[in-house]
Amino acid sequence: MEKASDIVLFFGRFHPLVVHLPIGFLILAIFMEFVSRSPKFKHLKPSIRLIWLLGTLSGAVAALFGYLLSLEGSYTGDTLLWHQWAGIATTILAFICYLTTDKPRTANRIGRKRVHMLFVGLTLLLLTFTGHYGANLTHGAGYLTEYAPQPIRSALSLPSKNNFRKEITSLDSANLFEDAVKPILVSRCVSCHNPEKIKGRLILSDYDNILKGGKSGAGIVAGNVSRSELFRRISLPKEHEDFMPPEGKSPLSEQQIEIIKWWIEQEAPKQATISSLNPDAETEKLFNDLFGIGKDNFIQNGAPPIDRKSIEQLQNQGVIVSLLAEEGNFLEANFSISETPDSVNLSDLLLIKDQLIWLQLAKSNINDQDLEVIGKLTNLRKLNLSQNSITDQGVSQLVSLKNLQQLNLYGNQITEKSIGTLKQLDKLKKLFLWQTGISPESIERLKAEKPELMVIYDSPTIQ
Amino acid sequence: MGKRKHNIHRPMSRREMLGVCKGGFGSLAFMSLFGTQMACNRIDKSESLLTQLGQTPHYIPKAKNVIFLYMDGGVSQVDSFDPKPRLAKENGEDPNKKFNVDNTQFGNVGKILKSPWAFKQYGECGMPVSELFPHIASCVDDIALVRSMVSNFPEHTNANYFLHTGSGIQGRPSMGSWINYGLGSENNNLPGFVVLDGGLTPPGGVDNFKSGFLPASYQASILKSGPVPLANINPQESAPYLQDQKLDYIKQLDNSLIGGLGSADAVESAISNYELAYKMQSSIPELTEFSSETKATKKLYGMDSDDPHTRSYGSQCLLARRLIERGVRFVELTCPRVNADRWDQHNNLKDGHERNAHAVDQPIAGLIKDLKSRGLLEETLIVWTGEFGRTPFAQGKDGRDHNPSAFSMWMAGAGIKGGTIYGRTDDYGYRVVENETTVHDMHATMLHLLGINHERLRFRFGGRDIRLTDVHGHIIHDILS
Repeated sequence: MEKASDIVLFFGRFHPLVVHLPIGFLILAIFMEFVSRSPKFKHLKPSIRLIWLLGTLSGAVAALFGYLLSLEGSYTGDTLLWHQWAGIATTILAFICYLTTDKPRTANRIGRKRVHMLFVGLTLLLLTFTGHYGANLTHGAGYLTEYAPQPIRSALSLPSKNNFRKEITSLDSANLFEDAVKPILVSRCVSCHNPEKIKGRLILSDYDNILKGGKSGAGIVAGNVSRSELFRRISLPKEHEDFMPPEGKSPLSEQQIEIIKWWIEQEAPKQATISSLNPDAETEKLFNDLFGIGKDNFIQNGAPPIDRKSIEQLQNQGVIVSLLAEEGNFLEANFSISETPDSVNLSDLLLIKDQLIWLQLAKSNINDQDLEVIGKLTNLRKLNLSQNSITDQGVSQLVSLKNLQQLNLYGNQITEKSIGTLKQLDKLKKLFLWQTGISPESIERLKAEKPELMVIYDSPTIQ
Repeated sequence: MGKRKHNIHRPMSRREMLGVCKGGFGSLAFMSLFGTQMACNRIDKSESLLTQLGQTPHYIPKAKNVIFLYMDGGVSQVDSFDPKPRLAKENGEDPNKKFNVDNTQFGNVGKILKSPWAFKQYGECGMPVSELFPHIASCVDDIALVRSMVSNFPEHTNANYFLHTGSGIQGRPSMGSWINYGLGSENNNLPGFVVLDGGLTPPGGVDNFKSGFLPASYQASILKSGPVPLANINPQESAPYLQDQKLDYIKQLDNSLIGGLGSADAVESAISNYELAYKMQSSIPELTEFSSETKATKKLYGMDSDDPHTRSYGSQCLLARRLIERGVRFVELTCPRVNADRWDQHNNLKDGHERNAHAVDQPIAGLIKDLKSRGLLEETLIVWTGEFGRTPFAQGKDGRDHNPSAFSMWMAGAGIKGGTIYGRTDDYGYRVVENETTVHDMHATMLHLLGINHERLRFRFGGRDIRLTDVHGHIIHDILS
């Protein structure tokens, strides 16, 4: 494409600036057309014709500048064509409206009036249409509805916000380019570098074009970070003239830059899962954070609403029930500092089973029978059963607590037999076994088998 | 506004325009304010449920309690947690030739003074700790050390207020009050904010522990060590029913007063304090009765030590554990009186620091280890800090002067990444050169671990919303797990 002369582009760049003037005039004219129908605003009538004329003239200038801007070649495709022709049509329609407006002191003719109002309506429609396509060119197509609430999304049959990206549960199945790199570019770069709007002759919406780059040269040189123009641009100091995205747009986060850097270092593969590239621990963490792997989905999404009566029932028995956070309806129940822990009917805890994630039962005279109820509290994350009279039989009831992350059994008469149960608690991260009957050897074996699990069982001593 | 005579031709006057629009502008401002307010208090439950469940953290907390180990007087960072080999190399040289020396409290700038104590690396993380703290050193894998603390004040009283209240002037609420204001107390029989008085009242006095403009029921209760931990806790009346009658009568009088007052906070707080004091008649003796503790536990805390100060601080640490076990949110320990001044060694550094360190080292290590074995360290945040640091050069011959430009602070427990060292000082340990951390940052981090957004914990006083962190404070994310 031959490049247009500087003076052409100079005026072209004024298009987004100038274009708002006719928009204002035309909307004013349309507005006045409608309100002046009421006797109260009849006095406005004589002015309307002038405003249509102003709208037409400024519209023509804006359209001309718009055409000059299109010569730059950064904008292509259907959106540009629609915007261009709709813009021209709007100007023509505005001119027709001007012509069909009654001149002052001419008699009203009903038929002509109807035709005129039809044109006015059409102008409004086209103006909206043109404006929308223009904005799409500037900001990218999804800009307007990016933060739309769910009812509006459904009405426009847009994908639901939460399902925007398929959920990644493991780095084994995550494709480095498709699932990590591309979404970053889409969120930060593609609104200006797409087949419709090709800033710097660079398209970043598909793999081949990303590698190809734009007018400054190859975007990505596989395996060579320092020679990859794309990486240079995003990693420059923010004040630098070449820094991308340009001023006023959100820059990439450090995490996003790191991911793109790692992708280039790995020879910028198109089809490779993250695991297959053997990321080191730090990189792995980067991706886990990106995809939210290892996050507790239940905690992210929240529990069902709390029933006040159930809480009252527990509180009346002296149990301390507290809300753990403003959102999410998560509850903690504490028997340890209750004045009358013995008289509590433990099975009442089942009333808040859905919300209860922390349970404090230290020194609360808990025995094996009680654990039958506790085994049903499957949403528990933290459970403190220390200093009670629990045996292996009781512990075996806990096997159903699949979400348990922290379990305190210190000061209970449990033995090696409980190890089998404890092993089955997959999400368990911390286990307290001081002053139990379990031998250090079997604890060491458990630790060897579950390296992620932290077991604390030593007697505290001072050397 | 005059009566409008010509309905059509006369346009709206400027005054009329403003008159009509003022409501509109006002409601715009209102919307924005109200919108923020709503977003802040957006809690998905009915009003009555909120009262039913008491105060709520903003997000799921890591820590439920804090034990604040206050090292009164300012521990020397270069002699404890921030080794500086260069001090040994240049020992006895003139500091003015090495770096720009700020004005010091006493202006008696001596020579560069090397640390009298050797450092060794400890734990899996290899954190260096000096000989002053051999026991705390054995806990370094649970400790996150911040070497880059700075204070705004070079003098004890202001620095103490600053450390405790986030403001250098007297009269602001202490951090323990803020935390209880935000979270409420779990135990109705004990105060939510307890100071265990080791014998030294910090410069600035009890104003370090006051509730300031927060309701008076949030101020600290100060427990002394010794046979009677709380003054007047034993009833004077010959029979319990006499006390009941007396208290009922006082309450009746107080309640009759409330109606006639504009602000009833003081009276309401007094009533609730009386009620709490009544309950504490039974809860305090139970709390301070250590007979249920094993000999091994008492030994762990150093309660069998030859040093009476170690014994005393040990029993405070044990009491601190017993308090948090009973749901007390914030426990602060002040230092014992070791006959060598607080940590404020303007002279005779070696003797003074050794005495102070010996008193607190084993009890603190015992506390960390005991909490860890019991699983309590998972929900308790321990903070160890002085109000500022000390100079790397001598004051006179063998002391060190105040240094607000750098000091070391550490945290251990709930939500803390053990074995971390954050921030760096220059080669002399005189000034911070990397990751400067303020007292506000420390407060923000403490609140964060308790599930409180420090920017949202506010109280309207004197016409503005005041926070513990004022308009400052950044969470120290690098030390969090």
